[in-house]
Order: sequence, then structure tokens, then C-alpha cells
Amino acid sequence: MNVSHALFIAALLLYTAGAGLYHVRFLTRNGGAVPAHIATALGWIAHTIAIGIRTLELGHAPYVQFSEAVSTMAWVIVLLTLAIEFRKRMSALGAFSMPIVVLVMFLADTLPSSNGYSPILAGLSDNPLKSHIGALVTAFGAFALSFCAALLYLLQERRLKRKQMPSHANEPSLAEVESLALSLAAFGFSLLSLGLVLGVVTAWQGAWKGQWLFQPIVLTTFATWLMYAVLLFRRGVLGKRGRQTVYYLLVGFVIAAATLLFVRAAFPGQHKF
Amino acid sequence: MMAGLSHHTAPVAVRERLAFGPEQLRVIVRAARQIPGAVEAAVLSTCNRTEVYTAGRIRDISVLKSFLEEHGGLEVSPHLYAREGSGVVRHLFRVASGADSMVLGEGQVLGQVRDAARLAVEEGSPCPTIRRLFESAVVCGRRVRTETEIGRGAVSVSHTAVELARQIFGNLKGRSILLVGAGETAELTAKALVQHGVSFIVVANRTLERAEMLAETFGGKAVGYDEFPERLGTADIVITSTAAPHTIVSVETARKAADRRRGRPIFFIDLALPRDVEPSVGDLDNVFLYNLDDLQEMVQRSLEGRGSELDAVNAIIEEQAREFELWLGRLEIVPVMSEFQARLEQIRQREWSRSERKLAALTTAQRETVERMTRAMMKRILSEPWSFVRENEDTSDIAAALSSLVDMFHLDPASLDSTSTDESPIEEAAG
Repeated sequence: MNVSHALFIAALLLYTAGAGLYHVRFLTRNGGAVPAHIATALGWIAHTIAIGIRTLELGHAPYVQFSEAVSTMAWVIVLLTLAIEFRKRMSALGAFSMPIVVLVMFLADTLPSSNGYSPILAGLSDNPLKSHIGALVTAFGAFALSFCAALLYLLQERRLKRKQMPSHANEPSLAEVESLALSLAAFGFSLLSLGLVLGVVTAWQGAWKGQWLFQPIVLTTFATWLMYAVLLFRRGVLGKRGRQTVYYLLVGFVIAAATLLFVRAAFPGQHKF
Repeated sequence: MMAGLSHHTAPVAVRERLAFGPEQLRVIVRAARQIPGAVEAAVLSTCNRTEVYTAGRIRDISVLKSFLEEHGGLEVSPHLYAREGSGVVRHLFRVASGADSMVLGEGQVLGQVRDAARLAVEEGSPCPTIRRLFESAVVCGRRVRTETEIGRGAVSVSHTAVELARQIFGNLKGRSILLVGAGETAELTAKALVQHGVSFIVVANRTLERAEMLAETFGGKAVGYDEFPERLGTADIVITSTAAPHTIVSVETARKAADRRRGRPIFFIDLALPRDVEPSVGDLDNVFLYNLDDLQEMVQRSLEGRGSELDAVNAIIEEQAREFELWLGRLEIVPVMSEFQARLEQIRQREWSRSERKLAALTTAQRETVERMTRAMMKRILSEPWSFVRENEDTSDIAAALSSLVDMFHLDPASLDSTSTDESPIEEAAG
């Protein structure tokens, strides 16, 4: 086991501890979120160093291979979680996002990886490709967190419908959670749009010419884009909010996750991920 | 010592007799300092209690009771209670923690304890013991509020409604209320919501005059009763409290209102009996319905929750009380050590005089050395009790040791002043 992998495992363990601590706090409705913050932040630092070492080893950022991209996505989700925690004092979000992070990290660790570029990727110009992947990784991370906020919304709504008082005085309101979920979706959507444009440009400039459009993963990514576009149109233009909007967020992320996990595995094409 | 009365012992008619305004309170504090033997005094005055605290050498607690009878009349007499020594500390800490309040866990009393200490300092001497006692009480109260959940949850219908509104809308600034009917609880609830930022109120009532009067109170707008279904979709919070014998908001009416709001939540607070809003309205998406029973049940749960925290609260009170008593116990050593130092100096001087003739053969330098040595021995002896007090955390041990010192060296107890804080000269002497 090399140093970067050891740090990766340490990050995975600390994230698991963080997820557990956030959950204990959320379920028992007791105690502060500081231990969970500390475990998560330490995990993130270990993860950052692991990514840094890997970057030095490879000579480029480690998100070109699928396993690396997935790991970077976990890193983005943790970064966003911590940023939201500190800015909005919304520690309930960690109870939802950290288990996803642990799953994603586990997936990243079990997926096969090799050093360097795969042949098809090596043939493409580097910068647009890196930006394409970087934008999509961050977009999917934001969608994951938006999904978590949507779940939190439904849970808070259920509590209010069942006439249960909030467990913590500083628990976020429905309006705050909804606004956060939509902001994350909008942020993810902008990056997804950028990522798709860069992907198309890269494909045109590269060896694929016109074949790129009919790759299953490209089609489902467009479906994800469409879902979020409809959601943001409903919210921005029609002014729709509330539970239905939250359902769109859930479905949007399910399509995004399916794109990453199943479509890629079921229909392996020229597009490597 | 302390004496006073509160909602536990006296009805409001009696409590009123000892309720003082700000200026009157200053007079009472000054008067309390004139109680024979009272070196320091403070008066704690809240809506539900009036208590006089003193430090000094009052021999009999009945003096304090008489003081209160003088100001409140003989009627207050059977309702008074009094505490001495450690009982005073624990009582005040309990009061500051909200554990003795009419509404368990209320936080307002903490500010009132702080005010009482400030007034005592403004109107009296530096009063170190009382000030420290009250400051420790505030620390204790703060700890209780942060480390336990005694202050958690709303304990009135209106504040529960505010909490719920915050859970739904977050910041209430800019939110609007539609008040249908003009019941007293509805008015209180609207008032609480306005205090928390709700900025626009529309009142609909069968009697337009009453609606106008209420609307004027809140700076809102009055409309005819028939207009309210139209207005439902425009308000974030709808409070109903009509005397109608049947429901006035059907599922269909509520659905139309919710549709007009395009998913923005609508919070119905139904305070009427019989109910104004059909119960199934609460099942609609983005609609939250709470009736009077729901709110009262939540208040009850909050109170029970607060009650279950009392063990944890008492543990903190005990810990803080011990800390204060330790400080007090250590403080008592100052006058004793003053006396002890004087006694040792007296012995040293006497022995020096006795040996003067024998020391005549010594040179001036040698005499100075011997004298320095005797002084150093004295300092060394004095440092031992200081170390004992510093290292010992048991107040009864400290008190017993001080008492032994007084007995063994025939110190004059009459000259001991427990309120002195001038530790440094003795400590320096003790070296």
C-alpha cells in the first residue's frame, strides 16, 4: 500500500466516523456536531493530501480514470458539506451526505485503476478534457448534496405534518433547506452545462467526430441536464416550489447516479465514463 | 442570609405588596444595608418574587423577615421564607437557573439576577460577597441553559406557534398573517409573531369595528369577513378563531389557496373551538395545520421535557455552589490570618525584648541578621496555613482548621471580618 492509498483509506475511515457521528446527533437529537465536524474535516485533509500525492505521481489531477473521478467527487461533496455546515450551521445535512460520501469512497477503492491515460483518452487534447471531467465531477457532487437537502426537506416536512417539535432550536427551516437544495441544483446545473459543452467540443476536435452523441452515457447525461433544466424553469419562471420541486431534485439525482453507475457499466462504449 | 416571597408561597395579591418599581427598589436596597449587622445587601425583584439577600453579621434571620414586613405590611408575614448559609447559595443558583420559576426554565430571571447585583453595587459598598454570589449565580444560570435543555421548547401556545412558523418559513421578516376572527389567544399569537418579524397583517372579522381596532393595533388592514376566502392564498400564516359552529375553511377552499401559492407553504393555526378548519386540510401538500389541542399538547411536552432535565440542573447547581463556598471559605482565612500574623508579631517582639540584653554583644550587622531570621521564621509559619487552604478543596476542613487556629492562638473572633477581600498584604507577608 503506497502513501496516497494509505491516506485514502484513512480518509475513508474518518468519513465513516463522521457519518456515524452526524447520524448519532441527528437521531438522538443530542449533543453538539463538533466531533462530527472534526472527524469529517480530518478525513478531508487526509483525502486532499492523498489527491495531492497522486497528482504528483501522475503529473496531472487524478480524475481522468473513473475511480479517481469518483474519489474526487466524494472530496467535492465533503468540501461542500463542510462549507454549508460552517456557513449555515446546518449540521443535519452531514447525516445524509456523509453516508453517500462513504459509499462513493468505497466504490472508488474497489474499482480497478491503472496508471496514466487510457488509449482513447490519451488521444484527446488535455485541457478541455480535464475541464470537462472536472466540471461534471463537481456538478454531480452538487447534485448529490442537493439530493441530501431534498431528503432533509421531506423529513422536516414529515415532522411538521406529524406535529413533532424540532429536536434542535437551530435546525434549518423548510424554506432554508429548499433554498439550499435549489441553489445546489442551480450550481450543479451550470457546471453540468459547461461540462457538456466542453465534452462536445472535445469530441468534435478529437477522434470521435459525430459518433459521440449516441453513446448511452452521453444520452443519459443529457437526460439529467434536461431534468434539472425543467426543475429550474419551473422554479425560476413559473415560481413553483414545495414538495413537487423536491421530487424533481430526487429524480434528477437518481438519473445522474444511474448514469454514473449503471449506464456506464451496462453499455461500455467509446466514452470511458 | 436571605428572606423573601415568591409564587410558591404567596398569591399575587400578597406579592403585589412587595413589588417595587425601579426607584423604589433603590430605596429598599439602601434601607436593607441599614439592617443592623448587614454589611452588604441586594434585593432581587421579578414579576413573581421579591427576595432580600444580606452578608454580614446579622444574628437572627427574623430581622430580615421584619424588614420585609415593614415594607409589605404584616399580611406578607405568613408567606415569607428564609435561608441561611449554604441554603442561600443553592436557592439563588436555583432561581438563576430558572428551576424555581413559575414557567420552568424561563431565561428572563438571569438578567434580573444580574440587575440585582448591579443595583447592590450602585447603591452600596463594593459588596464583594454579594457581588460574587450573584455573579456565580449568573454563571450557574448560563451553564444550566447551555448544558441542559431546561430552556428548550416553547411553553405557551403563542410561542409554540412562533417556533413552528420559524420551522416552516425560517426568518419571519416580511411574512404575512391573515387573522380570521378576533379571539384573545389569536391576538396574543399574532402579537408574538409580529414581535418576531411578521410585517403584514390582515384582520377579517364579522364585526368590522373590532377588525379595524385590531388591525390598528398591529398596523395592519381590516377587511370584511366575507373577503377572507379570497385572501387565504395571499397570507403565509392564517390564524382562525371565530365562534362559528361549523368549519369555515374546507379542503376545497384550502386547496385553491395552496394552488394560488404555487407550492409556497401555508400555515394554518386554528385556535377556535369548535374548529374552524377541516382537519383533512392538513393532508394537503405544502399546507401545515395546527389546532389548539395540537399546540397545547406541544406546550405540555415541552414542559415535561424541561422537568426531566431537573436532575442535570441540580447537579450543575451543586457543582457551582461548592465552587462558591470554596471561594467563601478561602476568603474567611484573610481576617484570621491577619489576627494570626499580629499574634506572631506580638510573640516575636516580646521574645526579642526578653533577649535584648543577651544580644547586646552582637554587632549591628549581626543583630540585623538575627532579626531578619526571626521575621523569616514568622513568614514561614504563616505560609503553612495558606498552603493548606490553597490545596484543600473541602470547605468544612478549611473552616475546622481556621477554628482551631483561632482557639489555639487565642485570636479575637470579634475582630474577624469575613467580608474583607484584602488578601494580598497577608499573602505577601506569608511569602
